[in-house]
Amino acid sequence: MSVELLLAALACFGLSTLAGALTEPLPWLRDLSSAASAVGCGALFVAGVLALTTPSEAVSLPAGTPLGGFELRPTALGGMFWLLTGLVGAAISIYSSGYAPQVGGPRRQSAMATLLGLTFAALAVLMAAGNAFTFLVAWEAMSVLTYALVALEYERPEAPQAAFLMLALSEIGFVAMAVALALTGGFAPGHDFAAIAARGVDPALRNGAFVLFLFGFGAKAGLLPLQGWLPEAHPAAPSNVSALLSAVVVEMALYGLVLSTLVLLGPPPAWWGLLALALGVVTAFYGVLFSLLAHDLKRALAFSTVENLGFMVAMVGAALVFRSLGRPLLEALALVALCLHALNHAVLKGLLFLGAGSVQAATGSRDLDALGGLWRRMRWTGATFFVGAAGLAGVPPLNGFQSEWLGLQVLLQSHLLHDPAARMALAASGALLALTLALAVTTFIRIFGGVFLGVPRGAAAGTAIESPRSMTGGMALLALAAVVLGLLPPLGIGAAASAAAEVSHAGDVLDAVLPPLFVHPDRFPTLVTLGGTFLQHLVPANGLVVVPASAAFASIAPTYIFCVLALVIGIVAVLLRLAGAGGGRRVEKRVWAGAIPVYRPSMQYTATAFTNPLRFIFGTVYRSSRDIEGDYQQAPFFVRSITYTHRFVEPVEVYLYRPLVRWTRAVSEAVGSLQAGNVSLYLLYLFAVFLVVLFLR
Amino acid sequence: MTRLVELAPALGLSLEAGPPGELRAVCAGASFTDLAARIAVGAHLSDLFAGVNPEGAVLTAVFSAPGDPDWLLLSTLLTGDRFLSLTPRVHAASWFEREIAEMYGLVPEHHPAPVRLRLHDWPEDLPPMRCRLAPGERAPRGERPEVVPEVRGQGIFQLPLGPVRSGPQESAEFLFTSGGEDLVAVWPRLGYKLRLVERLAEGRPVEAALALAERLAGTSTLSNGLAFVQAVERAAGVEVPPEARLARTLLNELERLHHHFGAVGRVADATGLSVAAAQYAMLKEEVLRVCAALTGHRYSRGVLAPGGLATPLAAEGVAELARRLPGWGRRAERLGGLLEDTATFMDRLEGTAVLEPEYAAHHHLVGPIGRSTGVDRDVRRDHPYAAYGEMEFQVPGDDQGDAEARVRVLLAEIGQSLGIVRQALDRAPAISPAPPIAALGPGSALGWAEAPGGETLHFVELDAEGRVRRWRARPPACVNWHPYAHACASGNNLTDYPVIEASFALSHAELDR
Amino acid sequence: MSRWIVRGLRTGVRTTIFPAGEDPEAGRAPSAVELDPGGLTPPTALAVAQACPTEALVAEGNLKNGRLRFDLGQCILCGRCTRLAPEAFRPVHDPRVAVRTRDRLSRRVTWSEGGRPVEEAVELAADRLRERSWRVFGRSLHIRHLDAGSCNGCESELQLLSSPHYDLARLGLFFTPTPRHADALLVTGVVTRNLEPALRETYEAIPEPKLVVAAGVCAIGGGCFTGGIMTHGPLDRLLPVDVYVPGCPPTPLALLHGLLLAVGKAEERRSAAPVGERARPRAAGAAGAVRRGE
Repeated sequence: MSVELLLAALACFGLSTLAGALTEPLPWLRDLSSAASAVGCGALFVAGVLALTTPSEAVSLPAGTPLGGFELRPTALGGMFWLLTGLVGAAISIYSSGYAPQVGGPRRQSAMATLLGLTFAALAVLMAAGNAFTFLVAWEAMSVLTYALVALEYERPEAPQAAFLMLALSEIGFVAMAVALALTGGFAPGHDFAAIAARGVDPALRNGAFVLFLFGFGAKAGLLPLQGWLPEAHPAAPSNVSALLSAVVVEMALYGLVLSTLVLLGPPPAWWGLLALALGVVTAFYGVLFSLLAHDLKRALAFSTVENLGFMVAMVGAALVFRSLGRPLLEALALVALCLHALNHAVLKGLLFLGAGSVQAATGSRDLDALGGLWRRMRWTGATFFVGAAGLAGVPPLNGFQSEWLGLQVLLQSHLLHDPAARMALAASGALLALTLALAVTTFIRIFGGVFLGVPRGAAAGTAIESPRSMTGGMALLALAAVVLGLLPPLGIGAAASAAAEVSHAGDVLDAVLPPLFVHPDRFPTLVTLGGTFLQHLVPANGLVVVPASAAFASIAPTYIFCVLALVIGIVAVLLRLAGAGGGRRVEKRVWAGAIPVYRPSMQYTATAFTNPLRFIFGTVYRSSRDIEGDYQQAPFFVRSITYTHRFVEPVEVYLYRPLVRWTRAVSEAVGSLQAGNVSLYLLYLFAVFLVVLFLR
Repeated sequence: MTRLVELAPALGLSLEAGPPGELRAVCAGASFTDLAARIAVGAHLSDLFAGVNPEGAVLTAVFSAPGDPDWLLLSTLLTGDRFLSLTPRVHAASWFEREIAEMYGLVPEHHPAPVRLRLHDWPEDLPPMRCRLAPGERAPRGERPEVVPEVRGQGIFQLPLGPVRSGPQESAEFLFTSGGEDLVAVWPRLGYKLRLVERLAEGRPVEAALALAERLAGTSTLSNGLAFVQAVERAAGVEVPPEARLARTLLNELERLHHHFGAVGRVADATGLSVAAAQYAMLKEEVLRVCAALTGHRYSRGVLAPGGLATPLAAEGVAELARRLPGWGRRAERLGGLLEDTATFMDRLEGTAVLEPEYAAHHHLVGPIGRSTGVDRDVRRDHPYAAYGEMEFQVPGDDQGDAEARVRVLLAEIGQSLGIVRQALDRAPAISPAPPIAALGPGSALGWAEAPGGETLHFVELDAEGRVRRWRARPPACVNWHPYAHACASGNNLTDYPVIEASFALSHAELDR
Repeated sequence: MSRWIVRGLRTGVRTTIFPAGEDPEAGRAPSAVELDPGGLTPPTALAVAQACPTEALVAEGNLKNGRLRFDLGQCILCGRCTRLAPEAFRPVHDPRVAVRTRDRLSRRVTWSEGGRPVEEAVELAADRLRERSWRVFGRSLHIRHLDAGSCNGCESELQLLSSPHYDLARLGLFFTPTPRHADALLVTGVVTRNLEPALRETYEAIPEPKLVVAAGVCAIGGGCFTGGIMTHGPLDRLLPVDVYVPGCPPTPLALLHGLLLAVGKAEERRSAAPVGERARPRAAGAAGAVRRGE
């Protein structure tokens, strides 16, 4: 059934592409393109739900290539990612119809619609790829299409540059990934993913394959030290493309990582998990540190994506560690956390980028220090952006809190292990991750406050108007999804549990994470006495309390938190209304600021100032410095103007990329001297190679 | 170093007769700036002010040189409303010229920053010291120009402080520019307390003007009153009897004591040492009570009169002072020692708001602030007045220029003041009032005293009936506010600001007048 | 740090017992000047009016017929009248000098046909301070201080109110940095032109019910700064004033009395009332005082 839905979705995407291509002569087709794309994503969503619940059979298409044919096999893991792609894709499609005029004229809009349709198709196929050939073709198609999308506004110099960097890193990853797939025997005929998973991989090649997979998918995921393209590509791309990148494309890398390391490669040694864990946690910390300092809105959000991807890769690492120590239930728990966070992050980060696009469209600026006060002027954008920011900051009872909590709980389960190295590694990672999540709260306060609160700091922010309904509609869809996912854990966790159960082969994953209080209340006396059966008759589900595999260890109940919050706020509001009804009158007066005669917008905190102290606390990482220079007249005592500059560096860019690029250039120039253009020299090369081949034979 | 009395003829100036210790010279308007700049090479520009004659506007510059007991007054009659600014060559003239420009409508040409000093929304074409307004008439409110230098940078913001401050403090406005935690620039906006006392005194009898001089600023009440009354006495050629001079010395030092106790207490309060702040506040209160016992007023108002004292010091007060003085000395020393041992206190002062000696020297700073940056100047020693010529004391100084140096100078001055009070008590100060002066006639003279914040300089011109024709008051804050913005911006944090403000211990009322 | 604690403990309690009793130590400086019409003669009346540097003593007429007005709200405590006419003008050491209406600071004495000066009855204005507000404020008052152009003497005395000698917090009085939390506005200083907008804005920012206390003669009548082109006072020309505390500067005990008067925890000294209603001044205030000049 899910394959049929997939084909239906592909058909819709095809229609969307066609409509997009013809938008230039017939402008009304643009809306049709968006609608078709949205419907296709909806079909994808449903296909994902079906793939999670019912097993499906594969579909093969011969392609006549030596590397095999096309094979589509929906899996639960793929279904999980179909689900999130469908949801976010639908919102992006709806949003795009209103956002398109921001990108350019009819030709540009047509290009964008076409490329979007094709990209969705490639993504849909990618998540159902059953063999290496399909996977690689879909992957490469996705890379090239997203490259074109990022470089869409090519008249601005940063767009093609960023797109090129993205493509370069992506191709490097692709090569690594392709070699790794070859190492797993994926290109041999008849060896689709199911067969490889059943048979296993040659032990001599497994370590190499793992490292190559980690490198290859890490390049797309933005794992340190390959994250350089993320902060460049996201600001340069149009906002709906940024949303697609952050919400879906990087998570494809995650899908690929889980697929390759946990499904294909078989039983891992311990160091795989520890390596992935370490890389993930360091990436997360790095991402949040630089998110705190970025003053471009989308750049800050891009670094937040790096942080969340690091978190998810850390979860993959934890799953590998648990698998190597033979704890399938804990492995499943880590995978639940991973899949749930993938879903939540996709929804929330997509929402934030769409919101950033709305802000940029309304004010023309992405500079956090020049915005402000948009809450009064753009209510819908502000409210939905708040849901996204609060969710990713981990504010209960929204969905982001659940997955981050679950992730930290996974790392806390290290106390159940016996291997000391694993215990220490998990504990240390947990500590660093907790610091990262705390800093994430700071960065989202900073972002939301800088954009929406206060009074407008620049002229553009003062004249902003709310975006058209299609844009706010797309954002509202994602905000609603976030709230619903937060309110009803069984929805998200149920999906994640199915995917996790398939990958880890552990049984009863859902019951381990969402104890069936409603169905078997007698088995969980503590939770039941704490009120865990509230809403039992209203929500037909396992239960509404989330536990990390053991009810005695910890538990949260987001639904109940939400109900209590609503109740308390409601009661207080009613009490205030009753108390204030006895003759109080409201008077509006000017803000008290020491009776200063003129109040200016510059007299409020800026986003950069908000994190000024952190710049010096983490000074060793940032290598921060500051400089105050006065411009004097006649003598250093009559100051005319003062300039304040502060600098920081991104260590990976300065200490890795630039030397690497310089070295590569030097080497290629040296090698280039071999290509002197002299025919006789080439003949000499041919002769030499011939000799070598003869010799080897 | 050539003395002023030799320098003036060397520059082609002929000295006229004046009160003893004052060298007067007149020059042409065109050469005024050049001459003043050349004199200022080795001397301090203590004041630069304007006045109005029937013939036109008169500029007067007052100089004093280290180690030289004379003052040099260089005057010129301006033709027209413009004059060449002295500021490019003598930076200390900057604020004096701004005040002249706004108060008298005289334009200093080539002044690097000729913005208003104390006027806010006063109309442009109405110089307050020269305009005629009907009684009860108020000038209309105009635009308030922006006088803040531009600050550029990513993410900087402004933080306004005032004019209404947090506790019982004087009203003043400060505009901070900050990058988040660090203080990039501080711009004080002064002049909120402008009462224009100089104009209020014009045409009034000396007693009324003396009351105004005393109420110029509360914490330097006696010093300003003393400077004014000494100017009147010098203009009239009146000698003050020695017991009265001793009494004046005693009261001057008591004022210095209670001011310094209060200032150190405020620094301790700014760093959170509430016990130290309370101890110093108690010392200040005791000094004020002793002043009340001596003179009938806690701040010694109403005790000065031209020629001596209006009322002799109460014997009971003198006895009480003698009783309490040793206790004050012990406690001051103990508290000072405790403060120096408190690392949290000294750490916050060290390196905070550093004022470079070069800056201080260029701006001719006075008082404890100047002395803490190496400007060794004290009119008690350099131009002895009252009974200081007979007293033995030292003038403490430092050269670091940071908040620690300023506080150390304050603590050392407390010790010195206690010593002078002891010496004055031993010589039995006045117990009988002074005879009233015969009618005062026309004349003009300088008067000076060492206020707790530095030297205060007054110039009084009396008309034929003995009323005040022109009164110029230049309390120490007029000079010592210059370096404030510069010192604040020397790499400090926002949390350092209360310490900076307390360590400077500047008075707004003195500048705004 | 512990040495500071030891130092503080060893100092003991130094707080004044006022208002529970009299404190002659703290009340050493006179808080006001008092007029005894019985000791006044027409020549001295004219002489003191001539000598007074402010408009505290204003005389009309001549030796035969005339009137002398004594306004404590303009008296800067220079002491000239007490020296010129010690039988008529005496310094007051009782710190309870604050009043609720401006009229209670004035006294008028007339003489005619060469007779002895007699005091005129002054019509007292109604008490603006409502009884009701005492109950609203209850036991404590949060005070927002505003320097409207003072010489800093009043601020010096106000800062001493927080010192251990006076400790206004024990009486339920607190200085607050924000007018939004304030119950009372305490204004010192003649209202300068540059500060008048700030004064208005601060007053507007205090929520109802609120009190205004004018401390010091600069705020009450302008003192020696009356009539300047930069001064826009006195305060009651701009704001409704509830309590007037005379003095230049008012002594800390007088300030405490004024604040307690505002909140209903103290009474006025009745000697400013007209002749018929006037009770004798308290013996401790006059006899036990340290007289100036003796």
